[in-house]
Amino acid sequence: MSTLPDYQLVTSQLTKIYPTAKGPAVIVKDFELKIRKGEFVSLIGHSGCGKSTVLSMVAGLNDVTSGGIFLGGKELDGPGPDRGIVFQSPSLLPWMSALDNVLLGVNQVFYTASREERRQIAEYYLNVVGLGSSLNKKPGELSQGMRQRVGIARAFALSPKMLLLDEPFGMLDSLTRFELQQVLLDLWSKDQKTALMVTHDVDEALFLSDRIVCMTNGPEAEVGEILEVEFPRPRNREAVMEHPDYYRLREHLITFLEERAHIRTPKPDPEAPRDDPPALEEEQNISAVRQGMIGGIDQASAMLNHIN
Amino acid sequence: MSIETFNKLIKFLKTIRMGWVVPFILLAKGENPSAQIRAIFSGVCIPIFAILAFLYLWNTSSSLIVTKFGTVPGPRQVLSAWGSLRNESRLEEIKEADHVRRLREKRVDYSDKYSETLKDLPGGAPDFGDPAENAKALAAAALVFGEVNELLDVSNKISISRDGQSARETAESFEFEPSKAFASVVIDRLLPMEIAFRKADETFRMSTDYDVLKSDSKEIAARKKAARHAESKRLAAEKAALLIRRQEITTLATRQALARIDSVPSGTMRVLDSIDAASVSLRPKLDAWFTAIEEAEAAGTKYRNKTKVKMLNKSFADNPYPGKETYVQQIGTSLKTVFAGFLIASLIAIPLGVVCGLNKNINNAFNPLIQIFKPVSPLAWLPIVMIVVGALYTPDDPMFELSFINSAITVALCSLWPTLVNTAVGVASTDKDFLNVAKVLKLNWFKKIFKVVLPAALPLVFTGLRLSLGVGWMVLIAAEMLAQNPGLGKFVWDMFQNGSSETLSMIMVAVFTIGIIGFALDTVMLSLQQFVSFGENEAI
Repeated sequence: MSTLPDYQLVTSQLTKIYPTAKGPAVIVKDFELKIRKGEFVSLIGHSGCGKSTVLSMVAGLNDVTSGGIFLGGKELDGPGPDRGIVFQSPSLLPWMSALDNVLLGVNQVFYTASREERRQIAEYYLNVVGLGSSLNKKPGELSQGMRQRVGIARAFALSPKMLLLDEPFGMLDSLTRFELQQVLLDLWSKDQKTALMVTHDVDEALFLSDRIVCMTNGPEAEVGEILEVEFPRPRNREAVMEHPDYYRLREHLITFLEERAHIRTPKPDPEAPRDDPPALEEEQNISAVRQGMIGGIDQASAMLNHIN
Repeated sequence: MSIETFNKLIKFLKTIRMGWVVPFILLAKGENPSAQIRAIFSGVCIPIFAILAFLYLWNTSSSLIVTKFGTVPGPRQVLSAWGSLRNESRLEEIKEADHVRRLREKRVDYSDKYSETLKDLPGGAPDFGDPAENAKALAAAALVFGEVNELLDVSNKISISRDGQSARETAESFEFEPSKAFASVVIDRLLPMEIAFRKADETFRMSTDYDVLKSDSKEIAARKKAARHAESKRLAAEKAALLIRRQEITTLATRQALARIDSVPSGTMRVLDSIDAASVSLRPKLDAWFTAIEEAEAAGTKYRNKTKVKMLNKSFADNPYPGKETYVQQIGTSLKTVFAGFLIASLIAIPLGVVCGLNKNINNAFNPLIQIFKPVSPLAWLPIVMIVVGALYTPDDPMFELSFINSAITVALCSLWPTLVNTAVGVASTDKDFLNVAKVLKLNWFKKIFKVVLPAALPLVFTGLRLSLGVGWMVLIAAEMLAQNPGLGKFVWDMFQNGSSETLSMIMVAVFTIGIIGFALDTVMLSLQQFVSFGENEAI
């Protein structure tokens, strides 16, 4: 299979099946997703729908039952520091200072750099996330929000090909969450990393993403709908919230989550001519496309070209 | 003090099992007094009451039981047994220091006039008087106190006071003849001390300082000379210091002996008081001497004769102090043994535990063996260890006593298991998040173990180590008893074999010593364990 150069991440017929006593449980089935370089994509869906499973498969922490994942054109095999991961819990090593936690990864990736250079990299990212004065504090001495900042710094400091964020702000109070979303967005716009984020927070997804992939409920979860979010960048919260399309998109997502996530979309025949939902064509500022399942890359790119 | 440091202090106190102090501190700060008083009542008063109740029950019931060694000793007898053990230890310490000093004195090259001064110092301390004098002391003491044995000891211990003259005057004023005789024996021993001090003092005045020496001769020669002077000064000062300490302990022992007698002649007490006063007045002078010596030594250190030091070390090795093991030394031996065993156990258990924790199959392989050997008593291990070690360990010049190795290995065999099991559990239950971090960063095996797995398992490893040390300490006494390792176990055994009136109280002293040291070791390990614990969860 050949991948187009502007796709950073491609998943093809990604399927996860767990064997259970009652026979195999299909968690995710034929999950298809293509993310362009520098794009911020959110996976949204109900808890337990399998979105975290998808992310951890991309991260390499969970084996793929069938299908493939391609990062930068190469098929992935196992975990690696080319994907910076921000976990839901910060997962910092509690016996190491913030700096050492970041350095642990930096040392792995930039092993050719001098000790001083590596330290500078780690310090730089900690400074950017606003922890310049807490470099030597242990995670136990930091608040939950500060710990997650370290987690973000650690992921970015690896200079990864892509960022994977697994409900990164799920455990924070809403004020801290807003703050950290801004921190993430600032860092992201500096580095223009390809990012895949799992969330169940509609506002978060709208504020951060270029595209929102809505997943249907499991078992056999798949892509339910893909929503393009075209708020101008750089974004700030007020501007986004005042944008005329904001509430419509929000409404749309919530409706999806409330009603349509439960309804399995019929799998269209890839050979059959597609008809785009007329309702979506009417929306001009955004084009949210209910994709159903798309068989191959070519069709996906055709689709995207059509949308753009 | 900021609130943060204050909270840290309180947390620290709680870690070292001093949590009961906290309500007092809070009370002094005026924080919620009624709650603090309640905390003091439950945390301090109740334990103290329980201890008092225990002592009371012990005291009243002990005299009811009559054994072949007399009645069971009460708390008071045990306390006084402890006192006499301690005095004995202190005296042995001094005797040993004196032995070392004499060896050194022999080795010093007295090539200048200062050696003359040193020769004049009363040598042969601690054995001051001649046998006749000892007998005289014994007789006098027996007359005064009627406690022959104790006072023989006392009169042997009594040494010197600078205030010999005033003591003598005090003695002259005694009307009771035996008191007078005793006092004069005491004073006969006080006078040499006065002489020693005078001579030492002269040594100081006569020896010229480095700066003065330098002005009239070559640099190196001056330094050498300064070093030599410093050496002779140190010998003189150490001798004086030893004499003072010896005399302080003697006075203490005498007072303790006197405390058991109903009517002590007031003259005797006055003699003791004047001796104490003398030693107090000599302290500052002694301190000044030592300071001067250190300065002189610093000036001359470089040029000390290295071969001389070597010869000196050899002479220590060739002439070990012949005195008997004191109680304190026995405690030391026990601690050394338990730590040696604990070290062996840790060196085996931690790596093995890590391997077991990492690999389920290895764990399954070891598990039956662990379960079978874990409950085996030290008494079963010891004969095996003795036979095997006896066959394998036969060096010509043994660095360690055989009994020490036997005990240590037995302790290791018994204390291995808690660390092994806890390490394995700790490693196996490493937080999945941490392992994910290691996976994502592609840490190599070595880094994964040392940066992630081991630190994560450390709290449990330390729990294991703490349990191991506890088991080791408990097992040690039995091992020492059978292996005849000269520690607390042997002490208990020897006391049991001696069968004197003091047997029971001595063994009870050992019981309390073992208990208190065990408690202290546990507290140290608990503190360490909490120090390495990173979470909020407190160790149980």
